Amino acid sequence: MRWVALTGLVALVLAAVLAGPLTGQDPIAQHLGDRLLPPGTAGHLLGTDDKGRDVLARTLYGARVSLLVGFVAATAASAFGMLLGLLAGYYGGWADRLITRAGDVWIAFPFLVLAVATLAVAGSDLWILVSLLALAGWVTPTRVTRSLVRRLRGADHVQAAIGLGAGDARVIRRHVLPAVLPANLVVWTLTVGTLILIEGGLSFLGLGVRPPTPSWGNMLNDGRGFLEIAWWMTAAPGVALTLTVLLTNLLGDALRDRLDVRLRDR
Amino acid sequence: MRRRLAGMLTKGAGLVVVTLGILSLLFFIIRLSGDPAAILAGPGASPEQIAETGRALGLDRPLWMQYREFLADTLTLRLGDSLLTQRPALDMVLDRLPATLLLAGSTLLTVLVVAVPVGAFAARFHGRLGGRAVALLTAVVQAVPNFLLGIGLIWLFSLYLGWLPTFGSGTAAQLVLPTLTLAAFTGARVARLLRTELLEDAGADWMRTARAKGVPGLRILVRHALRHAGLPVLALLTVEVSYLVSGAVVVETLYAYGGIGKQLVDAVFNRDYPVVQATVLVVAVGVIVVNAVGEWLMGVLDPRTVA
Repeated sequence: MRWVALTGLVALVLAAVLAGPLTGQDPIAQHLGDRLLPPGTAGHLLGTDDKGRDVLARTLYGARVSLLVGFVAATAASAFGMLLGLLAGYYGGWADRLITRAGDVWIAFPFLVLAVATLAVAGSDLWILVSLLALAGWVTPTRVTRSLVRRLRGADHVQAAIGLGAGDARVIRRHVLPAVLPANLVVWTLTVGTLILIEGGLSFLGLGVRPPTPSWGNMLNDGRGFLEIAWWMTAAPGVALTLTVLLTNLLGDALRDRLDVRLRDR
Repeated sequence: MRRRLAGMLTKGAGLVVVTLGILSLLFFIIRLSGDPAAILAGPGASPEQIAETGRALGLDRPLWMQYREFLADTLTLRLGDSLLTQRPALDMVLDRLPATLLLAGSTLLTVLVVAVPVGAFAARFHGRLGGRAVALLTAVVQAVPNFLLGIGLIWLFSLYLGWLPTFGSGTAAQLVLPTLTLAAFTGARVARLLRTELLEDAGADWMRTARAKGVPGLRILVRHALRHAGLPVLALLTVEVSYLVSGAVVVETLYAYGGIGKQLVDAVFNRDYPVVQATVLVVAVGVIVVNAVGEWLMGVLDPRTVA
């Protein structure tokens, strides 16, 4: 299962990177003479959309945006979450209470309402989008790191290191950080999928990645109006998005079993 | 009881802080952008109207004075009028609230009616074909984004079969597709959690005792196993409310369902900031209420947690 998921994701990343040479099509330039060609038409394996653009090319270029946004935002969220989790778990006290509380409250607030409201006033810049998504994903890595670090803090080898006079920085770098990395790799993988879904939702609403730049979310929004006459406009990005999220979820689950990580929080 | 109440209050206070934080963020982004008067006067305003808005809002005053006034207005629920309809923004949101609550209620009901039997089935047939099929199905359902599922349901039930309307709100038929779309993700999560909990409980002493004294299978499930597994499910549902509201924004927009989510997205596109602010505020109050009710229900179901 692990290899299926990993191979699938690597193939997807390669297809996204090689979108240009693979399709030889421009995902943005319009060819109004070639509107709504069905799949299988010469030169357009998955047909064309309502503006005569190749659907396969747009789906692959869309993969770039979705994967890039998902990877970058999930990495930022994981880094931020691990830092907070270390602070809370290692030092305890008021920092722990504050961070834990903040996480509970943050989870309780509907994220999309916040994101929609912010994008409304701040505009849909790609980096604003990435920052927002990073904010959507920080709580799980924080919680996972915190609970692991709390347990480690009392472990014999950590106590021994402290007893031998190792400073906080050394203990964290040598003994704590390596032990929380496997669990955070699992969380990171699952977060990538979640954030790609949220990006899709925002782009679908017209608030994430703006046309003409293709993203799966805004392609689905475009395709909605042509559902009866051009199903491929919806099917291609829809299948791509679902498959990507399914693969990251499978990879996350497989890694969790492989690395023997228990995640009560999910 | 006192500790539970204290927990409820801290979480409520935290949510108030987050809400004020979000509203303040919106305030500062607008004020610090190029021309706040032009934004707040609404699209298509004449230069005179923009100047008038600037004067009325006192935009020439220092930022901290404006912010103080903004905070006072927010806390006393003076959120201003919609830039589009000139009606009080809060009234507009409250008008649409029942539609969203109806959708949320029917979604929760659907989740419980479908997910509980499915989760119990998956646990009962664990390791066999039936259990595996359910596990796979719930994994796929969790990976399908709600807007895609919605498009699929529209295609199947509205365009292909012609059974249900594609959009709008007000009739029972118009509630079916949005409810199904919204219920799928949460339903899958609840079914999976319930399955895990039931499997963990299956080997417990009290389950063995119940079986040993000859309690019938269905009665064990309902009276013993489900009652015990109900607590984590309830905890999940409380958290899940924030996902449901997020989902409602997308689903209402997709089906042109007249709730606060659709109105929020419309307001964003119309640059109708007072309505955006009022929606954030109403949603926050709703979330605080739901969390309080959730905590209270947990206490009723499991007196042990009320220390």
